[in-house]
Amino acid sequence: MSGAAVLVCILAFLLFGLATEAHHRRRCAGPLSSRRRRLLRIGAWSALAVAFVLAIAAAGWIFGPVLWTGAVMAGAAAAFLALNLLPELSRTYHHGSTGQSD
Amino acid sequence: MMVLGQNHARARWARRGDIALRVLAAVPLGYAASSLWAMALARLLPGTRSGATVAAALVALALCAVAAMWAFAARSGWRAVWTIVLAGGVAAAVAWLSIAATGRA
Amino acid sequence: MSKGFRQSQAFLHTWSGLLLGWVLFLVFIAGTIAFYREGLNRWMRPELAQVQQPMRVLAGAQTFLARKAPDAKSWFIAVADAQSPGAPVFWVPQPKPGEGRGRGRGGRGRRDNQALIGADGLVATARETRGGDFFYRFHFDLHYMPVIWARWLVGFASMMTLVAILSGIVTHKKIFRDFFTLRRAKGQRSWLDGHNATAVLALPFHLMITYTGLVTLMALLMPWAVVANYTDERAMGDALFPTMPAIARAGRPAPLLDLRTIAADAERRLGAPISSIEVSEPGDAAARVTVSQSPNATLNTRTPRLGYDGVTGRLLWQAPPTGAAAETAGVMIGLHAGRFAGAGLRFLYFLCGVGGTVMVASGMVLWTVKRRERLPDPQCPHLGFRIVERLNIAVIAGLPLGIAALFWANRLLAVGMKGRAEWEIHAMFLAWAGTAVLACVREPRAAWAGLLGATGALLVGLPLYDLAFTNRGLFAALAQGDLMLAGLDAAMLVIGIAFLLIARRVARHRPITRVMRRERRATTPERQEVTI
Repeated sequence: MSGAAVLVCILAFLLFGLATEAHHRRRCAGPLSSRRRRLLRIGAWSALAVAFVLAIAAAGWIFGPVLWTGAVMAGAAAAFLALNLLPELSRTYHHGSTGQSD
Repeated sequence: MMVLGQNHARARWARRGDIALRVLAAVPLGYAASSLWAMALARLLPGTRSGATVAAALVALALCAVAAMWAFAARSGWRAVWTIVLAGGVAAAVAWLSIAATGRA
Repeated sequence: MSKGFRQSQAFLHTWSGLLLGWVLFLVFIAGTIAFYREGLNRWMRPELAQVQQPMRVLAGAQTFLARKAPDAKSWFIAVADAQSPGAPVFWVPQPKPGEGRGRGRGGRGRRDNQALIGADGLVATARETRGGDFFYRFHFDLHYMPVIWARWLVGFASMMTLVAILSGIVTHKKIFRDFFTLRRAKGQRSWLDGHNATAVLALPFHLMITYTGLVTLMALLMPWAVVANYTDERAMGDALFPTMPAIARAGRPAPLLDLRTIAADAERRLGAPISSIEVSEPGDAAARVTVSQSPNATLNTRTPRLGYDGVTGRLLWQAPPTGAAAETAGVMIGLHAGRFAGAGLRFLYFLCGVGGTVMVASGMVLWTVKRRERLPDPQCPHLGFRIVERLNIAVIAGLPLGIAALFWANRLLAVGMKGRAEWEIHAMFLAWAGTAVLACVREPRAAWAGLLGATGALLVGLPLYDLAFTNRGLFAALAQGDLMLAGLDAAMLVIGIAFLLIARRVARHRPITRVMRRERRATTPERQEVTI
């Protein structure tokens, strides 16, 4: 359950990261519209809330928040490293899609 | 040319004076004001005497940091000084009145 | 938030971070190491075996104290667990007639009133060292100075850190976008991104550790709340730290009950392990035993206590609850010390502490990198810049080397040497002083690379030394199931390699601007002068 909390936090920060201009351009097809940015951020905040519930379920009301804080930091770190250091997959897909969008 | 050089120097010293006032507002005055608020809150907060004392000290530590931030955010160095002195003065009055009224343990 | 506000906070952030940044670096690095203080207590005494049976150690402690100090005023026993090197004990002798009550516990630091009981229940014969506890004390008591001065300095530096963190947050316009940005090999921008990343990533930790650190020093830094409510501060102390009422010595000898019985009863009642036992008037009919629950089991460091009759073992007293505010303060101190943390969480604490240390260091280096790019004449920087640059090297590269030297002194100093424990610490300061000299005389890049590389080599050498010369080297420790010792050796190896890699990177670093500046100087040999 605590592992699940960490994974959900990683997802949350990946969503936060993809809601920023530079990373969205590198890894997603299409432009970052304000609607898409809002959806990504809502998804990210929801994931953080889910992680909070998982943490409380895993460790109770006293240690749960401590576990959640740790999961948030671990998730942020993992997402930061992944977004910045993992090479982009399938360059050809990106080139193909930008050609088709017009 | 000479006037320009003097104006530059005057502006530099004015800026240094402004920063000095803000540092004065932040460190000795800010700490003093936060300490006075610790005393006022210790008198005012509900609950047991020891509990209120601890809670007041916890809040006052945070107030020290806030005072420093305010000292540099205020529109001028003088404004930083008098606002913090005023805040401390209010707390001092509250604490003094409370102690005069009901005394200490 | 207006531009003026953000600018003012950026200015405040820079200076509140820089002025005492070197003190802060010391506090962070020593505090981070102190998360593993118990492990280091054992690592620095390789002669000691791991504690397998805490109750056996307790029995041995009682036997020892009954023999050594049968008529003492009080005994204090720290109950051993699998992570501690044993049970430290100390005793307070009866005050001589005519002597005053003395300062509280009194005599705790004295050599002749303390001992360490090892895993086998006998007095441990291990090399004299302060172990990991030195790092814990160092990070707020510093060294070579009265502790009150040190705590004021550390308290002031911690408040400046809190201001730096808070102003750093509000000065950030796009905290999310900035957080995920990492521009590599771009000089000042890369340092800024690294500083941001380590700062924002562990921001909850940094805020928590800084504020709770201030809370641990609250009695010293903010005593005014107590002054407002109490004429006698001891009344406040009694309210927060209730103790069993003391009774006078009866004068009739009576055997002290086996402490293991009392310990077992206490653990059953508390539902948690205990960590310390205090016996007052042992061997007397009026003996009293106070047992404290271990802070490793709960978040609040001010743990419940039970008081027993020392002769009959009957429960006489339970500490009354102290109220929400005191609980809150206790939880904050508990969060700071992290004693409740198991292996995984402790490692996370450690990583966050490393992040904090890197945050402080990168902030100070960032200041010089930023200023260097703006220097009118890079060959002749102004005094402030030179001071910061050299202090950065002396502290950021020098202190880690000093710490590595301390570990080496722990391994190499003769076991029977007089004052050995203090000399380990002198070794750290001597090595650090040497690095400070180097930092001032050598060219900065060479000094950085040299010191970081030397630190790396020293750290890598430690687990190798352990393998060769102690019976607690990495593989032996793993074979014995001693994961802590093995982990510490592995950590030193990994951190040492990291230092070596950084040293190599620094040595190879060729700043882009250097070539440009040389060309510029060649074409404009005379300095421009403003004519009046």
